[in-house]
Amino acid sequence: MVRAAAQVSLLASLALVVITLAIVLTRHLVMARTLASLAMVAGLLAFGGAEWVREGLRKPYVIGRVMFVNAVRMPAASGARPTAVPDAFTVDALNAGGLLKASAWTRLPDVDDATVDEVTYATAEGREVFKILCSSCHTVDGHLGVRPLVQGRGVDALTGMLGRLADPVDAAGVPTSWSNPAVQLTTWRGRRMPPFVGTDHEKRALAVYLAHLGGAGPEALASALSGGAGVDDLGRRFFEENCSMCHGDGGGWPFAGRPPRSADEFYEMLGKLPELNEMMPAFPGSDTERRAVAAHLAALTAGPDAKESAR
Amino acid sequence: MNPLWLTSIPQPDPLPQPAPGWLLWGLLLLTFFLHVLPMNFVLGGSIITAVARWRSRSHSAMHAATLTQWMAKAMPVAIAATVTFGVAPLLFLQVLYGRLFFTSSILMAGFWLAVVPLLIVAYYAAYVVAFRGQRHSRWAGPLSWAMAILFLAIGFIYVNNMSLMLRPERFVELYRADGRGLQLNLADPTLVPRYLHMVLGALAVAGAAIALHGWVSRDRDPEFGNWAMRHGANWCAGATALNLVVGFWWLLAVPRPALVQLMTRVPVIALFLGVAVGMVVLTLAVMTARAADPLPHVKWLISGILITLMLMIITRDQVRSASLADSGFTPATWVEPQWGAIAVFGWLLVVGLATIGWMIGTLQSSQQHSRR
Repeated sequence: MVRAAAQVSLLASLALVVITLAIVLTRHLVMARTLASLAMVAGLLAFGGAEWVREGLRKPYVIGRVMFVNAVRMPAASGARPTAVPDAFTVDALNAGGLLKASAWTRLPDVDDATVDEVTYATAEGREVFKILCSSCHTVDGHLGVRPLVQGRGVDALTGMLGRLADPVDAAGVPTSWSNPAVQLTTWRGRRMPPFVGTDHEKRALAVYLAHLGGAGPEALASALSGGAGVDDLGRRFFEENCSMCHGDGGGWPFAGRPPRSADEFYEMLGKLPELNEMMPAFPGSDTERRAVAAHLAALTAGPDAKESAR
Repeated sequence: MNPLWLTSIPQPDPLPQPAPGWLLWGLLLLTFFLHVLPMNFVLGGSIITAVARWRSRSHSAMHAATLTQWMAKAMPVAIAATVTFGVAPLLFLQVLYGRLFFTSSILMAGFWLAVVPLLIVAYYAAYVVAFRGQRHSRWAGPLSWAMAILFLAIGFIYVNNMSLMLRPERFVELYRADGRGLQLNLADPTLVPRYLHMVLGALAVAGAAIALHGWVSRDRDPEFGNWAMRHGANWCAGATALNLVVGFWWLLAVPRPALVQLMTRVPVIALFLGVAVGMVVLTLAVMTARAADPLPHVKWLISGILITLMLMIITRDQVRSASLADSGFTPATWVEPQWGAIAVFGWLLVVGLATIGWMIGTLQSSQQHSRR
């Protein structure tokens, strides 16, 4: 997109020069109005394209390696400047203290209001988190709107995705901490997004809000909020959080309808995910989680009848 | 822990200020002065033109018609100059006070963004009056009034933002009440006097500009020249007389702690000098308006009004910093001057102003040439 914008800007600039020369050489006598209108269009395209490139180049930062587009600061950056007050808006500070507490600009319903149930309150919190963290780039339905992106997604899947927006790595690509001065970003599917910052509670609230935007009803949101993380549920939940953004019902590569495999086969495959497809990260969980996910996948590919009998 | 409203002044960005504070402050005042000159001509001039057009209809007064014709031609140029000269002070304001100014702009975003469409409509109206005003004279009157009303509305929005940014203690409260960007600063007692002071000042400066035009055009049309000098001086005198009263109203509306702050500062001398020179301007304006030969007075009137304007711009800045003294706002302390960029800016500013001066001079002499 940035490359295309750069080409448009370059071509429009050239066109502007040519049109201007044409206007000057013909002494305004030939098609003056048409040429002037074309010059205006070329000028707008040249400027628009250049602005697009400028925006695109610096994402996800607004000040390179210092401040993200949503004004969240890298911790390493705060050491580089003289400051009288400790910076309350670094990744570490917000992860520890919470985003909603750090911001004066929130509009939440009254906690003591009896008519506001848990789901409504969580959705409201999520909406505020969205406004603070996401709305510098995203709208709900307009430019870079999120509603189509989260259509039909569950709270667990969204929570997992939010946790992987961007991770701190060192030059060799090994995970590191945010306060490492040489920290670099590895982002979810190469998107130029800053990391989610805030507490786990706030991440969950944002996921609830996004799921709500994506069409999830109050019952689904309430059951996701209440957790229900029994041992039986471990595989499904782990899959939801870590795999379903690509492999879920709404994703490009769903499991439902695939040829059935046994749990042992899936267990083997989960051990070598990057070998199967370089787009996939290595399995991030424990051995228990790996077994649980394998069982869940075996049930998924066996179809609804088999799933019932497996329970 | 700080009270909540203290946190409503955003933290400074992790970015050093590109020039020393005193330099940015000086450039803010200088470029604001350059902006105010054409802005006052546009705002005050649009009101004077509308009134003159209305008068010239009922009295079939020839001079008023000549004046409105010149004003109509000058208006698009003056609007362009206002916008162009407005960019630099807006940027310096953002560097120095961005944390306040952006916040107040967001609180009133709906109105603030409306400035652009309002201005575009007024700008088009100015072009229609300038180029089609003779042929469609039936429309010129209503369009002139529409322009005056639009510029008054734009000024009102600006005064709202410039006064709201001085009240950070109200930011969070306003946002909680309504976060849709539809807040104005209507509860502020300084709003009305501040706005009236600016509008009356614009009328006085526009009046002085008309007097200047009368002075310049006296050679080729002595009768009109003398009339325009007196007419402009009349507007200047009336507006300045009212403004002395409104100015004190504004001063008394400033919150008491800020007023004490202001009065104990050395630069408050600018205020007293400004009032004194303002009174001299009033006397000169009355003399110009009454004199059989207004010419000897008019250059003193114009010098006086320019000096008053400078002193009042300094005073306006002092009111700003006095109002912010107890607000918890602290200027940025992290400064890493980029002297190369500053030198380029200074050079371009000088060259640009010289070019504009040359353009005005050339235009003036070519007009006098063609008329002879």
